[in-house]
Amino acid sequence: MATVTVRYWAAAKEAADMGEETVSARTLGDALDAVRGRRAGDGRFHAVLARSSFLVDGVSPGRREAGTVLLAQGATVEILPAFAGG
Amino acid sequence: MLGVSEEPLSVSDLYSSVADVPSAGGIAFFVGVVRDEDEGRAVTDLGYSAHPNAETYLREVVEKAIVQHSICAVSAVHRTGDLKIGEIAVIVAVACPGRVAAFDACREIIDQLKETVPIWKHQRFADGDAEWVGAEG
Repeated sequence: MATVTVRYWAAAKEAADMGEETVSARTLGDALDAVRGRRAGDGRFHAVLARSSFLVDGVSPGRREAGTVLLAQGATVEILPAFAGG
Repeated sequence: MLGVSEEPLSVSDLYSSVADVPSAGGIAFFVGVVRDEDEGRAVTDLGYSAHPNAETYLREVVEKAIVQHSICAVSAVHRTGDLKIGEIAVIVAVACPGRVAAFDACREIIDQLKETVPIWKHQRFADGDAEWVGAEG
């Protein structure tokens, strides 16, 4: 298990009620499960996360399954809510 | 000009940035402004925020358009911070040899910007409610 930082932006930051937190995770899927697990029953947080995209150390994992995206020790996972520019 | 700006955007600045290219025969603009309603609800003002790497994503959008269209000059700038009704949120300006390419490229850049550049809109309503646009579906 790696210790990773989960960083929230915009609506995700508001829904999580924090800018970032630390979780133990082996994959992106684990990290997302961990932060969801800490907010069981929080419908808003889950709804925002369901429409979010992610960056792992600044890079998009694209269409890869979250459970197959391995996280290095000290990695940062960024939660980007649905974009609304323009 | 390419990027994200906390300062008010100017159509004339963007025009100047793509004008005076001898090979250009037409300049197309898209100017996005803050509207006073959204799905029937009165909007009072809104805030745009951007990811620190938003400019990198915007550059990718523009570079893709340059590959696909015969662009002579292009500028795209998105505003961040608090905006009032009628203020300019985004400007895309594209100079091309002719109007078809200019309109096509301008349309593609604004569409791709909305889809792929990490910018978020916090909308405040007249009834005191507020929401992050699109965040919860």
